[in-house]
Amino acid sequence: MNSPLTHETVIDEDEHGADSAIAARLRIDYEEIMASTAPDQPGGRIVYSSADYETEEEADAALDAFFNSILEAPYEED
Amino acid sequence: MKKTKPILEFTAGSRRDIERCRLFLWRKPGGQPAQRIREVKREARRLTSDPKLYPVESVHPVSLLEFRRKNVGQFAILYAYLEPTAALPGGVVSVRAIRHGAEEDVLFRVEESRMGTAERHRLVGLYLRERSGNPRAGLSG
Repeated sequence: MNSPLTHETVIDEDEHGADSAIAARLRIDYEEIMASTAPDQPGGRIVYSSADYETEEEADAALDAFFNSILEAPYEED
Repeated sequence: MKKTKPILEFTAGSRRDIERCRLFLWRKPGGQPAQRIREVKREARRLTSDPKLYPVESVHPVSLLEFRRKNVGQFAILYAYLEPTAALPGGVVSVRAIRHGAEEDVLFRVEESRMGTAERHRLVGLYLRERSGNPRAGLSG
């Protein structure tokens, strides 16, 4: 398959309306994503995998915990 | 026969993307970061029900990894789906990146804050020209 590595797409307007003003064109650089998330790159390290859990319920709970760890982290300005 | 669900995984890169999107939404009045990020989680989880619902957008030339995209409001979830094998009978949904529709604006503002005034004005001009498609837009004098 011969596909381009960069796509431009229009993200749908936000269904809740709060972000509708920023429905913007998004340039997705698949080449960069492929490179930065290759297995030998820091960005390619798997930080959550449902395969690490015995049951679907445990995997779901771990996914919740994974996202909560992001949501509960203190905000750090650049 | 019950169909085996794919494994769902997130890379460190996708986690960083989520953190960056959260920070952006936090800075934005009415951004509702927690609600939006939970939507991403819900939709990522839902991908495992039908990982091939979204078309392949790009294929890695060496690994032949197929990248697909699911839009969630202002976000795009970029993921690869690995077909089932004997060892992984459900296949794998591997979330590689999360992008926000206004990300380019965000990056621009971050870079802008690190620059001096003259450089900032020059880049604002370039930025406005690129956004408008008008080679004169953003130029003064």
